[in-house]
Amino acid sequence: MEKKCLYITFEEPISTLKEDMSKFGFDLDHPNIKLVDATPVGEKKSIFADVLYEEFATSFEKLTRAISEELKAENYSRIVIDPLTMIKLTIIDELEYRRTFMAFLKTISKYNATILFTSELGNSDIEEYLVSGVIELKVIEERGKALRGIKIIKFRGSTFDEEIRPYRITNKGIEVYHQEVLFHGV
Amino acid sequence: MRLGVPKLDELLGEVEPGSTILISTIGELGMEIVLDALKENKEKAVVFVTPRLKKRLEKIKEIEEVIYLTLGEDFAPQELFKVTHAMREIPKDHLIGIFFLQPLLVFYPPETVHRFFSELANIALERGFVLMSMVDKRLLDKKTLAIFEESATHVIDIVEVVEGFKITRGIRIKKSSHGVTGFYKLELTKGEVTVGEPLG
Repeated sequence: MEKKCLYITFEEPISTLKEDMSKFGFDLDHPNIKLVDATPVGEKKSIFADVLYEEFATSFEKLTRAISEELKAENYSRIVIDPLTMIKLTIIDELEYRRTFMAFLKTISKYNATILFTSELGNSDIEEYLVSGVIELKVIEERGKALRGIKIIKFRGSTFDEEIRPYRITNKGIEVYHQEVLFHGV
Repeated sequence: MRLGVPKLDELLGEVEPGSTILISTIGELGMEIVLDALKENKEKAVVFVTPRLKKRLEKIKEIEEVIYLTLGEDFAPQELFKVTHAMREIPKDHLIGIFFLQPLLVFYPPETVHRFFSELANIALERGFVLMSMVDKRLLDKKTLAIFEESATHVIDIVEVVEGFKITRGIRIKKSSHGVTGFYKLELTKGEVTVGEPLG
């Protein structure tokens, strides 16, 4: 792994993440991965840029500032915010949230890093307008069996495959059947 | 590729790699044609079967070398994408893929089975193997059958006429690059297929 990655988790504690991801072949102890536990549990400590983990989960601005400081110090190519839903809860007013989110994207875009947000389906209407790409992971029930499908909804500046493609989670990560279709609802 | 039934091969003409042959039949009539094609191409065949049909075919010594894709064993009926994926992955030297579509028509609406069939036909063309499928036309209405036939390069039509206690079976080439034919007498005795004289 050559690219440096900053992974901020708001829901799953790092220990759980490491354990779960190792089952799928991901080594989260790799020196190029920095994990930040911003879950509302665990001991109070400064995560980075003198911001306490609790403040992360309650203030979007503080998160933006902290990430920005971290990006100045380290050259990250990927930033993961998992999930976006938790940040959204910090700002009740929708217009204010939209402004803050746009400001966040603008700040981070200076550093030439790709940001991956995770979000529950149907819970990210505003964000979908503002980000460059949207990938949906679906679970479709077909006669009592759950089938997994992946679909690109948006990919700014490029044409893309509009078909839902089946995928499965293996011990080597996600495997997408990129040439196949689900034959669901035909 | 040859099916291994002399008169039928003559009527059908040369079947080029990438072709799709649809056998439109009643029940299992004409299964012997598929078995002959399997025997003729045993080292190069992949067969899509139900567990029951697999058990039956495994007893036939001449086709021991075929590869089976078994519904309910290798994949669930809902996972047709795994079948198309497997067909893309089969070694290039495999020249024939045989699919019995009847079980799927019980599970799925005909439109879904047609999409699956049409996807297989595309893979056959891309990979250069011959796709041979058998469908019970009683499970399809005329329009849907026509859509299936449209996706095939060759259509073999099998009919059965019952008059009193007399049963006459006929076979014709309904679609092929060499043109169509009228009906010929089809005799199926002790596992042997004979295409006889023209009917009518």
